[in-house]
Amino acid sequence: MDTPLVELQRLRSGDQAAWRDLHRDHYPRLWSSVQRILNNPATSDDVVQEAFIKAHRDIHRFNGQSQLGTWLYRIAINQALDTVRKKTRTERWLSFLSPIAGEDTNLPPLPEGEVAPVASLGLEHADTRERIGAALAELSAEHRAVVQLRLIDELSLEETARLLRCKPGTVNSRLHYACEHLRRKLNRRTED
Amino acid sequence: MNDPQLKTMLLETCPVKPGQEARAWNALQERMQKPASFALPWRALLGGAVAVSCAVALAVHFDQPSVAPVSASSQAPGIFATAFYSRGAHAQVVWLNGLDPATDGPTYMDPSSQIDESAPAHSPNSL
Repeated sequence: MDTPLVELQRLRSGDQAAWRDLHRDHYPRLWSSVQRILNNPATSDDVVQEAFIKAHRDIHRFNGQSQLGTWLYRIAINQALDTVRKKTRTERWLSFLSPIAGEDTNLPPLPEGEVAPVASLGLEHADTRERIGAALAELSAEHRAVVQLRLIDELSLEETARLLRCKPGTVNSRLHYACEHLRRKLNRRTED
Repeated sequence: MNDPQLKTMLLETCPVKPGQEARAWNALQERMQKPASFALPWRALLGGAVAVSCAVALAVHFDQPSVAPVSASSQAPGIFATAFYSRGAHAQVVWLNGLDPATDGPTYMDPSSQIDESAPAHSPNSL
């Protein structure tokens, strides 16, 4: 669906009220998506702010043939993934200087065994939300990004691979690993 | 637990706290009102600095005369020669000091080469 021309013109003219509406409508989803990838609230704040700044600067380039929210989402996700890449590069350098530093980022191998189905999980409870958030936080940023893009946002395999700059097979294996990890953690805690 | 169930659970994570959006908007508004020049990324600044440095280096390089300055020495006492490159004329110029005031007669830098004007016209020294 196209973005209404009137709305686009207001944004292009720098109408503060239009930008305020856009921010109010899209900020929650953008922040949650970015936070699921980065797992760092302060960095997520910066990334989402930077996404809006970019949108403000480049709004004249937006042709209006897609949803404004989708365009904003792409900017924010790209910004988040750039942040992950920068962090990975820094950690690689740090591990090069001090080989012990990078070892903690490796994920532990998944234990063998069947995954039991989870009984009704009341997500209305904050503790359940915290538990799944903690399970998500145990994954690496690359795995969290796959979960966000492929599972939650339902992007295509090719699109996810393109955004993450990896092969489609890598996307599939990361998604499989991440989902198994989340299911196992949730089941274990439910059993406890 | 299947993927849709997992997705539903994950969607519940990372909620925005009350007042967070308003605070973020205030911070964003401040940045939006800043002049565009302040938003220049450091890479653009670095690229600009490199471009200016290259331009200055090229200008200095091409401003140098293609002919190296040469020095000249006088051939007679009291006569001094100064050589320099003239950018205006695009040529090497030799400036002479100490010559006698101009006369109708020729000026000789080496007095020993002075010709005898009283000599007959068919003399080989005749002008």
